[in-house]
Amino acid sequence: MPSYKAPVEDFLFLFHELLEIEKRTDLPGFADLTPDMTSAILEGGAKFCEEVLQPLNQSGDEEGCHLENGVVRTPKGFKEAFRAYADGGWNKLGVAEELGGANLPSVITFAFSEMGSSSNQAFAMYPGLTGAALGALWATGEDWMRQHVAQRMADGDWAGTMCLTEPHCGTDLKLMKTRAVKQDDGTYRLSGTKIFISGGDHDMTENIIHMVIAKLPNEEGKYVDDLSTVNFFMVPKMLVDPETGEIKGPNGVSVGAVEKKMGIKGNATCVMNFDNAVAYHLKGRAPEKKTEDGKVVKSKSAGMAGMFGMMNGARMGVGIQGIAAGEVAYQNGVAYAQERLAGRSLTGAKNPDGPADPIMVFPDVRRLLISSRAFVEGARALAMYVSFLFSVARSSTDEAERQEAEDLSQLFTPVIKAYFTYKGFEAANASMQTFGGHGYIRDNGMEQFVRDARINQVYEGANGIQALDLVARKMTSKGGRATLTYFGKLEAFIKENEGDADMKLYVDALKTGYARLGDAAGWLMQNAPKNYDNAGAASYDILNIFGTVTLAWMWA
Amino acid sequence: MAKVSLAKLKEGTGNPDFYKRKLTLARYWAEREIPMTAGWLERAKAGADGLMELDAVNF
Repeated sequence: MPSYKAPVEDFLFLFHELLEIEKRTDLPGFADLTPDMTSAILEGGAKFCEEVLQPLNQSGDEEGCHLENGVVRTPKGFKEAFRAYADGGWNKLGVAEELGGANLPSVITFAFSEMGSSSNQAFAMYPGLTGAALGALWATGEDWMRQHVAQRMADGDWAGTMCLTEPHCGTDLKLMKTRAVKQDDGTYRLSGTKIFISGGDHDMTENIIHMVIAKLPNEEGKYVDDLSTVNFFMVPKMLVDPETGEIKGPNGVSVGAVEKKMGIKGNATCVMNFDNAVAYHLKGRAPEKKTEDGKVVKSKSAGMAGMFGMMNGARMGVGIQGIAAGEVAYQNGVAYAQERLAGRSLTGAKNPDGPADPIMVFPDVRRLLISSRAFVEGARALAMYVSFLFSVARSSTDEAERQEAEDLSQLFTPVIKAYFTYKGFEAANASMQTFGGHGYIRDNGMEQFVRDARINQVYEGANGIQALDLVARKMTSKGGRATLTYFGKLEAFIKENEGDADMKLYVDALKTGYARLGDAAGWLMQNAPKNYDNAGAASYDILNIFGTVTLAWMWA
Repeated sequence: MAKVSLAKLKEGTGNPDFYKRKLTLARYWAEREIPMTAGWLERAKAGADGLMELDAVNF
């Protein structure tokens, strides 16, 4: 049976020794983040994850989710765990104070989400997606939705989902077929099929709030394949009275099927059918944008900003799932390598009184484990740094610093999503390898980590799409401003530390990596305009260089 | 992280095993991950032609 111990000591090191977050008293909520406070939160979260969520990980995988009489039944213990999660306040860490939440900065919420995912990725997705849906509803919904719907979600009474993908389109959303038709009373009727909906249905809460994207007709009344006609809607599974918040009966929402899949089997991945379902258009506060001739116009598809906000947070969350998979698999790989006796060390017996040496004496076993831990801790440092940048970008009073934080967090997001999930899968796989044949046996739990980790490279935008986003958009937009800012930071760090003999190994490596990243960026600038396929062909390799160099910066 | 860990070891505060392990992991990244970037760079610079020349029907 696998085990898990949350890496609280490492989080405290990152918060208080590397990032020194408690010094940023100018940012809302940060003055309270003293080491006493953060360690109390993290220790409490660790205990909950280790004692409540982790024991349901393997059983949830074995049992899976089942569709029975139109309702999805989750694995034994999940319903009670979901209640305990809410009762412990773990779903409210980052929630607004108006909803009774703690409104803690994202360094705390993302740290907790890593622990939740390490202990039970399939379970953690239910409250995780509920939180994402709640955040989007809070940002874009009307007052009655905030009061009656968001509150129930924050209290853990109702859950939430994100419904984007359709049978024939995932990445290319302009091709979607789901439609919404406006009614005289201002509501909409929404029809269509959405697939791969995580937590699409379950028996843990009395209502589920679906955040759905669907098309509205264009000005001529036609449905066209144009992203500007795609809009954002709230569709409750059970109808809600806007006046009282009471449940009025079923909406036109049903489960077509629960997918049989490779991993995260405790999470119900559903086909959702919407049949003339009552839907509420989420208009949000329309973001204004400047046109080329300087006019200020309101964005056509306003609520979509809320949707994209939800997806950006989700991409960071998936990158963190990559770290989480590597962490828990590594811990179990180490435990096995310390205990398992086989052969003798290449340089003479290290356990001469025993029948053989533990396999930890072998350099190649150490390679498997050290590579995993070096990735996990480097990635965790970057994840916490970017979580911190989210707070700076939102709340710093210094406009230049705010802009810089926004640029850098945008630039790093596709790298975190793709590079972390690739390396996290590799780490889970390497840790399974230390078990030899026993890693392939289901009871030992290692192959579940590998299966569960595999989805992270696929969902929330496949890794290849992230690589394209990096080279075609994030590195190059606004004249490459974000890239130049990042390179400036690397150069400053190198300059500041290259005279320090103790730092030589790390600074030299960073210099080498940075030179190659700069070389790659230069090649891209020269060769992409000639033939855009050059950017596509180089994108994945450049993303890997980018990720490796950025972790070298974290390690230096 | 190496910079902070070296400083902490010099000060003699905190858990030295924690900081020494950080240095081992930083060393791993410098010695064994950074060299991978050379291969990726060479591959990136190969350009698109080698991936695009085969007609789709011949896959």
